[in-house]
Amino acid sequence: MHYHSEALIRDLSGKAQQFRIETLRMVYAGQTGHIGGAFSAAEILAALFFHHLRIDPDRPHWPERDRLLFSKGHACAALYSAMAYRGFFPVEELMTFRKLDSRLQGHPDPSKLPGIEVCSGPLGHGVAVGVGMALAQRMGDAKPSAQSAPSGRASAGRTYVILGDGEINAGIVWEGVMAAAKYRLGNLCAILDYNGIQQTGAMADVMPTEPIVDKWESFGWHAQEIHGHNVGEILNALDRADEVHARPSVIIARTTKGKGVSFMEYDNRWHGMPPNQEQFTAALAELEEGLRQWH
Amino acid sequence: MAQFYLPDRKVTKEMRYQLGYALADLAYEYDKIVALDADLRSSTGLHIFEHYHPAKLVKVGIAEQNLIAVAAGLSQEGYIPFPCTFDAFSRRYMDHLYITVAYSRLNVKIIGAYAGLFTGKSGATHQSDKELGFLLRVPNLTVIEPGCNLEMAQALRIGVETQGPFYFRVVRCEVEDNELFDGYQLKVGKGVTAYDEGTDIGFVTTGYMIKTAKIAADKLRKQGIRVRIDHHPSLKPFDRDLLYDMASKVSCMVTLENHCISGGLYSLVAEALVARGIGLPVGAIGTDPDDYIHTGHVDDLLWRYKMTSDDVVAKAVETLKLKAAS
Repeated sequence: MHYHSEALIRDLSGKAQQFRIETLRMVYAGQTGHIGGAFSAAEILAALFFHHLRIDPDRPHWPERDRLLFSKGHACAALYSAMAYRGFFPVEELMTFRKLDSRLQGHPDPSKLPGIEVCSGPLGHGVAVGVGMALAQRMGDAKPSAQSAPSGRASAGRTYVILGDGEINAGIVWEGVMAAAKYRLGNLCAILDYNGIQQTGAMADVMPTEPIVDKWESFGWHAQEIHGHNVGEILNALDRADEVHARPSVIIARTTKGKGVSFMEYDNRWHGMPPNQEQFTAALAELEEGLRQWH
Repeated sequence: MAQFYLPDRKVTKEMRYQLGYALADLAYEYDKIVALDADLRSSTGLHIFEHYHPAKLVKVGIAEQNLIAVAAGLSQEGYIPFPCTFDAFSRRYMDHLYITVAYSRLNVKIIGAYAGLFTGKSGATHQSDKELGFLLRVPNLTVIEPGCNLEMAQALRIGVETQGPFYFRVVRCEVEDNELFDGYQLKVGKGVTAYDEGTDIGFVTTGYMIKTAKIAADKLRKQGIRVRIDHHPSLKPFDRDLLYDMASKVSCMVTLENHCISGGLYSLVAEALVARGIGLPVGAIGTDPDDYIHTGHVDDLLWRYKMTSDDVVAKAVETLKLKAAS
């Protein structure tokens, strides 16, 4: 386990809030996109892109990189924000989101944007594709590289999959989960953005998934449960998952859909609805106020 | 016969077993080949691949979507994966083929085994006669349907040596070693004139049906009707140039496919002819698009769906009459 300084945690928390601001701007400008699930994933993305992942924006296909599969593809506005800030493409390009011929497609497209590892949108593919990638790492001669992550980790490429909780309704997810356990893929880590709400309502109403930790553990995974907006807990959980070698790991991050804007939190209507001008102005004000606490 | 039977490769003519051997051969040449099985390898012939390359067979169980998605992940890491299940179960993973594989142009080589009628008595759930309607409309996907073991082996090699998604639609049953001619080489996007007695009528075939077409053509010759057979193992891309050449020389055509008569070869031919305003009568041999393939011995199914060589002869005569009346 590594020590994570207060300064680091504040910095990553501030970045997460910045991703929320960019997401809001992108979705408002294009009048299209998914805010609720993007806001809930912001701290997870900040912790990964700015600390934990061994990646190189100038070498998106670097063989020894960590792979991040953003399986909950509809929330890609947050992913794109994280990638832009990390240097995969100019921040100005974020405003091309969902426009014709944009590299920032409505759901992530690896053929258009280097750095995207999987085409996600039809939910559920990410774990299964991640199994294939992690299995390939095991079958090959993956060796630790001299170049380490900002965190100082030095290990051969690991595979991370960010999943939504509505997404785990899909059987294909559990096909991948079973296969990962069968092949003892300790180099595979799933992060479940567990915000409790899906497009048409609360998960408890649409398709209940509790007891969620028990489910993953009974499928043979190492499971941790954390507060998904607490950057310190996210970083600790990622470190702990790195230490699990003989089983795949899941981090169940309890989050809030629409986190950061009072009238968007816990509300399934903000799954995929763009804000009008009044809502945009109010939301932006709240997010900018929230950003100030980290600076 | 034992479940994981390894037949003598010099003796067996079953395409499924020859495929297992052919893929095993290729894997000695290309060490990045891996095969994936969804609990069917003792039927599809992949158990033969496993015999020679046990570390290169990934078993995902009865999980066809996972089969394709795991293959997608492997392909992104430089492996050449051959996920294999029944052609019928392409119905289960179509989204993963359409998006995860083909949209991203991944280097995944899918084998659809037990294609069409020639499978046994499983019935509709396990038989495939509609799937070309979708497969032929998946962008970036190359679709090959070999009719003999030579074509099958050549197709697999082309798949290994060509970047991009491939789909091989193969049968379970016995086929000839070579339905074409000495020195034949399958090419993507190219058909071949396999039999040319003359230009009374043209047969357009793909896959297994080259065999039936040749038997029917021999029977028609005895009636004084001269047949040209063009064989198209490459369904996507499809060789329209060869089709137009045939259309310029024959008065009418019959298509023969191990599939229903809509959405597959018949539709490819119809679209191509209509696009140029070529108004030949075209008869269709294949199953009924409004029905399922029911359980039965394959001989009974061929009789039921009018796909025997005698049915082809009758269809040819009927189509010629249609031409004469027009």
